[in-house]
Amino acid sequence: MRRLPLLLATAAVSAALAAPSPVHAQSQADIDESIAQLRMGKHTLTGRPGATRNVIAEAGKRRGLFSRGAKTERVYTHNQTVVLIPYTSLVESVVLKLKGDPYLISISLGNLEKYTARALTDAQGVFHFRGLQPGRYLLSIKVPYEAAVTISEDSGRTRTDTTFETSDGYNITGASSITSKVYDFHNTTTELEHHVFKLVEVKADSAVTELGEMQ
Amino acid sequence: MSRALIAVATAALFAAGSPSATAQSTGVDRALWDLQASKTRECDAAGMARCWYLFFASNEAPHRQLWLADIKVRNPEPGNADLIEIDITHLHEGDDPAVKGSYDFVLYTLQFQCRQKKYRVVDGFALNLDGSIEAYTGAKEWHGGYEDTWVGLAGKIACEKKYYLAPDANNLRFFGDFHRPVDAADVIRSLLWKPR
Repeated sequence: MRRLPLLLATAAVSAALAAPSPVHAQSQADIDESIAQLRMGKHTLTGRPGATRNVIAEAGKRRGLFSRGAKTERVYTHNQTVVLIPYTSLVESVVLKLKGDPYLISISLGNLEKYTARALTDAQGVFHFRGLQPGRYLLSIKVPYEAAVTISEDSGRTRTDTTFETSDGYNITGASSITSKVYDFHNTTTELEHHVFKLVEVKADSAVTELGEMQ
Repeated sequence: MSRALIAVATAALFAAGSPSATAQSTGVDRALWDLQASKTRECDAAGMARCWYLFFASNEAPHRQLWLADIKVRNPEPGNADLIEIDITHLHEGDDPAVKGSYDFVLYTLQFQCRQKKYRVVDGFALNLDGSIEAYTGAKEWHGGYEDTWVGLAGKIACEKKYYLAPDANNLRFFGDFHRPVDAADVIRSLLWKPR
């Protein structure tokens, strides 16, 4: 064998051994636990994750204003990835430590996403996981949606309000003024994201576990 | 033994061609391939549980079939670098149980003796259309003469450096890193084939 390839191979092995471990590195036991739970099973899990947003009233649309009413509507997402992470002892400890915070948990469990089940939502926003083993999983999906918002913008103008003081209602004895910025308000839409993050259980005594509408 | 798995063995028995050595790899070569591959392909061997590539297709709708290879191949005997193990997922579009060979999908774990050009099925299962799972319980004898079948291409993917390093340049198409073959199958059904 030539010397260069041997050196490169040795360097690769050394680099792998010296690589720093992630904060929540999976032990081989935890990887085995994940893989065992992801073996082909006979159970199905379905659900319909969505987000709730304020609707724009028809009258408000005509006037160019958004409704301030309490009417809401559900929005769903198509072709969005749903991830199921086996709820192993390591995952459970991370979830408890981070008190269920989806953002922090997602970051911490980033390296665990190698061993997950994944599905896409269909045109109705419904997902179907086939071939699952019974047990607990962390379900994660981001539902993007458009929301109506009002943006305030500094117009560059100012407004001065003066208050006059009188002694008897007629004779001015003093005055005070307050000058403040004038803001313009614009109604628009913005892209938001709702993160559905739930601990779910695939039941052993049921072929299909239906989670229904998920908030 | 499932019908699909029998079909593989039968295809191997009847395929023409004589064994000849095309793959020349050692353990050190494989380590070097991994180093080079990290710069030349979408599959990141370290960061992904699997690297599925579409490599073979047959028939027309609604009876199409697709084969996916997980190019994160394994070396089941560390002392024997010539023995390579690879997972293959074989998907069936058809949903009529009366049609012969109609499965949802079949997962094969194949082993190749690269220099001797021999292969065997060592593990696998078929998901039947009724949802039942049929595990592979067949014999694990070695077969040769499979070059003109999809097994031949699977063997090249398992053994040959050019497929390992540059799958896209060799007509393979990356399909994702799904850990579970059933998830890859369902995504194919929803994106490439008409949903059932």
